[in-house]
Amino acid sequence: MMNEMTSLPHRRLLVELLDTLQTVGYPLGPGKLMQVEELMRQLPPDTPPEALRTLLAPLFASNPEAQRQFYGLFDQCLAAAYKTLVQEEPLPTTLLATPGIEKAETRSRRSLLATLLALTLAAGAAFDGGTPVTWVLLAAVGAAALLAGWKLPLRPVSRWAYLLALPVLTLAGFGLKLWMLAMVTTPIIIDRPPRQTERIPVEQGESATRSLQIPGDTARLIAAAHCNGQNAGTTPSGGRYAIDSSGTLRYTAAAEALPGSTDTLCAEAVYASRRDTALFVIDILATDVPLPAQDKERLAEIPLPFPDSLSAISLDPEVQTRADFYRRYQWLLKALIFLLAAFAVWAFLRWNERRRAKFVAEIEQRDSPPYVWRIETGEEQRLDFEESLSLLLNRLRRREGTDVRRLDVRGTVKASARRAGRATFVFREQTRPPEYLLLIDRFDANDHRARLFDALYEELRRAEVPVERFFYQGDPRVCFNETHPDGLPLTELLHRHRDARLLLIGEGQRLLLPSSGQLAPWTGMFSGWRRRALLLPKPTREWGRREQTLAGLFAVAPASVQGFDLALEQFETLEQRSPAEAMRRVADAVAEPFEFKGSLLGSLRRHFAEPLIRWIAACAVYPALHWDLTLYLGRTLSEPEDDALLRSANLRQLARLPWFVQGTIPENARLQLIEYLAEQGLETRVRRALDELLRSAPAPAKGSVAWDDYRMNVILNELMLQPDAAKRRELEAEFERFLAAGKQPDFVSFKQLQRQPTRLDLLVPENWKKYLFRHGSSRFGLRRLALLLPVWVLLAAGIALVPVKTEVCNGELVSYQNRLLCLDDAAARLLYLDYLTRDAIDAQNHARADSLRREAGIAARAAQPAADTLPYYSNTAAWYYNYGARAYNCSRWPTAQCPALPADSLLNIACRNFRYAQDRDSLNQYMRLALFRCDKGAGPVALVPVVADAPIQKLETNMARITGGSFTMGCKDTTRDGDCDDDEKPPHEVRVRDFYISRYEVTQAQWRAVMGSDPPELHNKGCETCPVERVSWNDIQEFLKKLNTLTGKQYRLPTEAEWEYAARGGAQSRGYLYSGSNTIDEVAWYTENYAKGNTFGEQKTTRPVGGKKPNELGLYDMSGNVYEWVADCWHGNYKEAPKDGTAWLEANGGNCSGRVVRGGSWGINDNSCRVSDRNYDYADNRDYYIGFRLARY
Amino acid sequence: MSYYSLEKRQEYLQQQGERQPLPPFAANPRLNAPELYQPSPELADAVNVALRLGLPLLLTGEPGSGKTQLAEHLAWFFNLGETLVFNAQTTSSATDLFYQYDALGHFQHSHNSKEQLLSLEELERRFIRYKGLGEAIRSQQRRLVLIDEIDKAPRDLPNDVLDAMDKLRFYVAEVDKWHTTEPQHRPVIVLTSNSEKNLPDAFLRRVVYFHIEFPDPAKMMEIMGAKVAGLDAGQLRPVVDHFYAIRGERNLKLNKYPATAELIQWAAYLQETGFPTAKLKNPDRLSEEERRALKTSYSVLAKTREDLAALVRRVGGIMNDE
Repeated sequence: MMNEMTSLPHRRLLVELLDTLQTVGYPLGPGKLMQVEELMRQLPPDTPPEALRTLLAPLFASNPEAQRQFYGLFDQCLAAAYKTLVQEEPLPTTLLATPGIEKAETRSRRSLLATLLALTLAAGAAFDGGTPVTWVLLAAVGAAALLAGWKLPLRPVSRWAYLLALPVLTLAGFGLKLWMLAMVTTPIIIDRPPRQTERIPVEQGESATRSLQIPGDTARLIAAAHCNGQNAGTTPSGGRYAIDSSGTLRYTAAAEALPGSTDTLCAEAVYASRRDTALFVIDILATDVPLPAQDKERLAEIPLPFPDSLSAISLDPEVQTRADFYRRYQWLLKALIFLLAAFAVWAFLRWNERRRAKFVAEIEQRDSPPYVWRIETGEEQRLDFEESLSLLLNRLRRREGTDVRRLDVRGTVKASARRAGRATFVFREQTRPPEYLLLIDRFDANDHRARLFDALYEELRRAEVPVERFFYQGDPRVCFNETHPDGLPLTELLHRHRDARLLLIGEGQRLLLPSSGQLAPWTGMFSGWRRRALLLPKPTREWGRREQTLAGLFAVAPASVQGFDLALEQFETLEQRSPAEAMRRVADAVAEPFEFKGSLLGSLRRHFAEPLIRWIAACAVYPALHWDLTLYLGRTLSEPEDDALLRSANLRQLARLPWFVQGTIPENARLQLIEYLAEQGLETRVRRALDELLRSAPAPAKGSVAWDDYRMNVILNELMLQPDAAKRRELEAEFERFLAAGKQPDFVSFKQLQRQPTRLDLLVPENWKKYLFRHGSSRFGLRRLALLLPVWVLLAAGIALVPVKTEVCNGELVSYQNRLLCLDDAAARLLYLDYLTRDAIDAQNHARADSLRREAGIAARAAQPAADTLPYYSNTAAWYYNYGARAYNCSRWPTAQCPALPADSLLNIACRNFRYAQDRDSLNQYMRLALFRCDKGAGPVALVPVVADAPIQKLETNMARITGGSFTMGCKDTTRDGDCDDDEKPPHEVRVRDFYISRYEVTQAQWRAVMGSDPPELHNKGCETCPVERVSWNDIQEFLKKLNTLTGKQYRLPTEAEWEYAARGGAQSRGYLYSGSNTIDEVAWYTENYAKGNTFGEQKTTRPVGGKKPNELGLYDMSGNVYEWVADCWHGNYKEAPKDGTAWLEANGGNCSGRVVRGGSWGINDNSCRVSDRNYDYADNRDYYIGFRLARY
Repeated sequence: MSYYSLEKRQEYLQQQGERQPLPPFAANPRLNAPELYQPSPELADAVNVALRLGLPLLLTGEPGSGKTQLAEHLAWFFNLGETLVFNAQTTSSATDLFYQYDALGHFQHSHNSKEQLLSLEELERRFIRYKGLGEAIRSQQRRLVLIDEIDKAPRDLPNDVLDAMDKLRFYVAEVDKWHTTEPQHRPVIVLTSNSEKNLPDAFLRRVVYFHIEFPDPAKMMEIMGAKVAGLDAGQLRPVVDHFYAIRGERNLKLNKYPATAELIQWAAYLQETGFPTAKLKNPDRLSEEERRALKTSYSVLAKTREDLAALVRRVGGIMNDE
């Protein structure tokens, strides 16, 4: 039991508690502290701090009130101690203060503002369209709105509705936007339909299988096949696939497939009821070129030279679209925005109104006591009672005799002894300190006269005079005090305090019968007190018959300290003094009655000194008179050089005014007094002091009726102190709510408040005010309507001023990836082709994809877009072309410095794979790989040119490899070579080495792909696949130069020997007269057949290449269609012709202004189509029947 | 068997010579049995503090909240023997706290007897009666002293109590003797007061104070369960509720609101007379006879004529003489 009780929480709590108690005013002497110490020492150490509550209360409290108060204080301190000690431990909820109304209000106001802002921004974002910024903005806004919604003071149902409404509204907004856009123009929607896609990871050379069946539904599978109808085959990247009839797809990745690349497979399963198409995306996983991890990461980050989205380049057209939309539907938009804003304002006002209504209802419901708030500073207000008090105290302390007499044993013995043993009893009166009973007539709780005597009573208590005090209101038959708030009847008082000396303070009017002026019969009760006095506050000048009558029952004296003293004197001497004598004896009594005569201030000046008038005026500032307030103001006004105002005599003077008895100053008097105060320059000082007091005084319980009044007074007073605008608004808003709840403001302050002009007062004519302002005063808020007007005007003006661009989209409006683009016609067409191409790729229809690419390439050239934007117009042909070219010339990369590329570097692989790239993703992947390698600066190499353009690419793929050999060139005999000319002779043996030669004549498309344009005088325009003609030999040299630059290969014209060798069928020659046949119709377009079935009508012109049978080597159109330029210069015959198959140039009298053409043309007879037939043309001549084909080693 | 009934008036008159036997009085032994007292935890804490610090315990509270009962209970609980009660009066003086000297008896004795002067011991034995605090100090064991209604005593008296408590001794002038005791025999002092306002501040500073709140209904049910035999909780509940309804109705303006003691008596009375207490839940449904019985029983609760009238009015009746 004797453990030290010094654990930290206890000590912390005790320190806190003792501090608080001292602040509150508990007497904490060393004795008390020792008691606490002793108690703490004796308590077991595990006593929880909470238990101290009931253990300490008995030590500190000394009445029920104090006991309750102590419990409250203890709980506060406990909470504080916990807070400082165990931060992480949550406090018991009961100890936490409940958040105030204001806090909740601010929060919900902020939430609402956030919501409105969010909605506005969301609306803006919805109109802005789908840039990433918009999405980020929308996301942020959505988050804010959600957060705000969560904090809004809503019921759960409403909250969920609100949260649900956000996305719904947003979606609706988007829908509205799309709908409205659709109304402007019907866009071409070129997005692909979604498809089931599965990703399959596969290692290089590894296989993977997938079932196409719906699991457990085998019976219903009818057929399964690749989308192109072939059940087995090779994908462009070299992977092999096979689909068997049971619906199993097997894929084997090519061993040299590019790691990190993707392959796509389209499979179709036909079920009894439906048909499913699945797209398998195969990810090639293994990495043959080990990439460090950081490189891998970097790989994804390498920026592509161009954004890979088409939409990125069409920003401007879109702005135009929007502008166009605005132009056409401006009024609609503005109306919508206006409505939206109006709705927001309406919603805000409604919300505000409801919130106000709620608050008002709350105020109206407040009916809990206290109903009246008495300003009690809690400070000890000591009055200066002058020296007469000490005299009084002396007299009060004199002991008095009692009825009880005790046997004085010693005296009896003495007396008996004196009288010779005869018992002589001596009794001694027992004395005791006299007790006093004060009955004070109190008109009102703020009756200053009563309070003055109450202060005297307190003073006596402090001096330990045994005095009891009761109040009564006019009629002393019922008395009350703090202990007996419900009152005690006089009989009970008599019973309890019979021995006390009674001092009745009051006018005593009710003691007399109103009719006869005689003492009322019940007053006989007072005779129960042996010693009784009546202290009359009435000015002695007015004493008369009535006082005489009262003197019959009481010792009568003026109500003052000296009067008190006089009454006591009468108790002791038991002499009854006449009222007249009492008047004479008492110097400090109020003699003159107060008279109102003339002006208020005049009357005051007649009776009071100036400092007192100032004091009275200061008291008029607050609507009610309170004793504590009066004293406080008196202290505030006491000038050091002045006599201190707080003297009982001064207060007695104040009490002469009936106001200070009744507790209120009439309103017009207050107005005059406050004006007087302002004239004296004291108003601000008084108000400031008042403000300080109101804030520091313990306020009434929140939620009680008195609190409202208190708060209103605080607000009014603060408003009068002219706070800054923000504070003022806040105060006015709060005040307005009180007014709306039907609370009565202090009229005088309110009126004064209106006296100060506000800016609105100057603007608004007087007679408008009642329409515009609530309560007719601009100070307390506009009416709702008035608030709406300027908002409306501002909104309308703002909307009208929104600048609108009015350009129109001059091209096509295209919906691409859910965005509307305004593209010019060519771009739109390219985009459309692009879409078709991708669709074809997905369908594995590479033939169609190729042709589409070709078309796109042509379209891209036709559009002649700026070089940098070329790839975007066609992501196929032009894309590859451009990328390939750039990769080749990679010093032009803005970010990469690429000296050279190794022959078998990844770039080469990448370039090769460009051709097989089936979608942007894989293309980007290759591109990145290439750039990456490029960036790494891998070693020097010969570049591998990439013919990226499909027509150009076709040139390469259409090269046939010709195995070299010997043959007899020229006219050998008529059996082999028919009707020969002289220039075909002499026949001679030539040996040619291996070489490549085009299967087809170079087409118009290919020419354009390389040269960028058609030959200027192209004869058969518009036939893409027809051989190009009207190209001079010199033109062809230009072409070759360009082509070789593009592809990195060494294309050239074939030599005459090579040409003839190839035309004859090389090693496989069957000795035909024409290339590939002896029947000319089978293999050649010539003058007899060019018009048959000619889609171009009877026009004499070329035909698409490859229209007839190829020769032994698979070469088309060697005979007919167009003459073909070869490398050689013109010689009249073969004399001394080279035998190694090289070009025979100027040697041996060659005429290089003319170059050899071979093979005949569409416009010439069969004889000229013979393989050995020769002809020539001038090198700079462009003839509509001469074309060419390519050769290289 | 009960006193006079109007219906039986003729019967009484005929019986003439025969008188009714006085109904037996069955005292409720539980009414003031100290062992049945139930202090609240707060009160127990206050008592513990007072005991630990050796300070007097000052109790206030409404009449009937069990202030005096607590003293009895403490004496029983700690086996302190009989409680020494001192009822303070306005004329009590300091010596009254300790002893009473029968001066008159002494004088008479010395006058009449021809014996020699009495020795001081004899004098003390015959004419000094130790009381309250004096007896506690003299008895050389721990005793409990109850000083009832100390606010009625002259203002010096409380300080005298404290003084005695400090010094643990007192002087008997008549026999010229000091009585003193060891600190371990310090008496336990319980003071009760109806109004703490009349007590000097210095006194209040040196006592342990506790205000006993009027018990709440639940607590009251416990108390009643212990104090009133023969009524189970179901029967008791309406009685207690009715009682609190009366106490709660402030506009009845009773001069004295009934307290615990009245409730116990009332419940006992109702039980003895066999009143169907369950019907108190809904006084409107009472039969005329029961209503009359209820009105009669109110005499236990009300202590003035006005109060009784107010209670009777409450159940919709009028006083017979109104």
